[in-house]
Amino acid sequence: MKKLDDIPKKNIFKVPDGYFEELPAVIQARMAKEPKKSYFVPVVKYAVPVAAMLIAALIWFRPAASIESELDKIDSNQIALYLDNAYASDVDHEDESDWTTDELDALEQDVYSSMEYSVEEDILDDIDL
Amino acid sequence: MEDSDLLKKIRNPETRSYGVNLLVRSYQERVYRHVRKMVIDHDDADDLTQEVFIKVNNAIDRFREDAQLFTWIYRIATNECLNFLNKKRRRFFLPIDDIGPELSAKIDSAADIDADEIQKKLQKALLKLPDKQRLVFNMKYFDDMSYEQIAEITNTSVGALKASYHHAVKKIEDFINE
Repeated sequence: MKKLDDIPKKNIFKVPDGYFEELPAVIQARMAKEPKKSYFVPVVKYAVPVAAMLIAALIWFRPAASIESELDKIDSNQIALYLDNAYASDVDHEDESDWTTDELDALEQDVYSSMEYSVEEDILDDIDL
Repeated sequence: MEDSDLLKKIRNPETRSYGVNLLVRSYQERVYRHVRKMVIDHDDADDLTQEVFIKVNNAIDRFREDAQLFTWIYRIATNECLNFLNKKRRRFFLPIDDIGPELSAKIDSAADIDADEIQKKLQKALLKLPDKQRLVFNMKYFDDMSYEQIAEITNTSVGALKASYHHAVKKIEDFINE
């Protein structure tokens, strides 16, 4: 009966001549070529789409409150007051039609000038100064 | 050079490259031999050894020194071996214990294996063991590591390792005497 101890321990696996002399340079060349991997990148890579899907699912499956149940919560007097005000604001809009052309042109200029300003600001934000 | 000096060199950006080179020179042979015993083929062992040191380099800044550097590197090498063998099985749709015949054939045919009949028989007996048991046997029998060191590398208790090793020895002796 042969025992394990009867077998001489020997390293039977040979390597090509000069293998261990060259290996450090081979490994360092690979290290230089392959950028250092961050362990956080895969987590972020998967976390963002998963979070987006969860948010979308929450919005999609959120039970919609019925209009009737929402209206039930509001006092009838408040609804009546709101409708009166809405009517009053419609009347105000009708009053705008009485504005002169000059007044409307001035209003339009004000709106355009504020738009040009904000566009310019956005462009400056995007340029490395 | 002490491991602490090696780590200081690696953590200093000015001496990092030199430090990494020293680390590879210090541990390359032990890592290669550990991997080669598991995968048998030189080209596979060469690839895996390179991969181990690339992973060591990527993770060394997070090495906390509460383990020995040597056992930490061995742990990475062990993981690489197990992953490689599992991928090989998946690639060929082999059952979990059926990678042995292919590796056994390599022991008979490879020109870079210098073994007499009884040593070849020992290697073939080892290939009949489950991967983790073969790892434990290799570290204890060939690398003369203590059970405590192997426990740190494999994250297993010393008691379980002793049982695994003695069971492995019995299986090997049974195979050799068949």
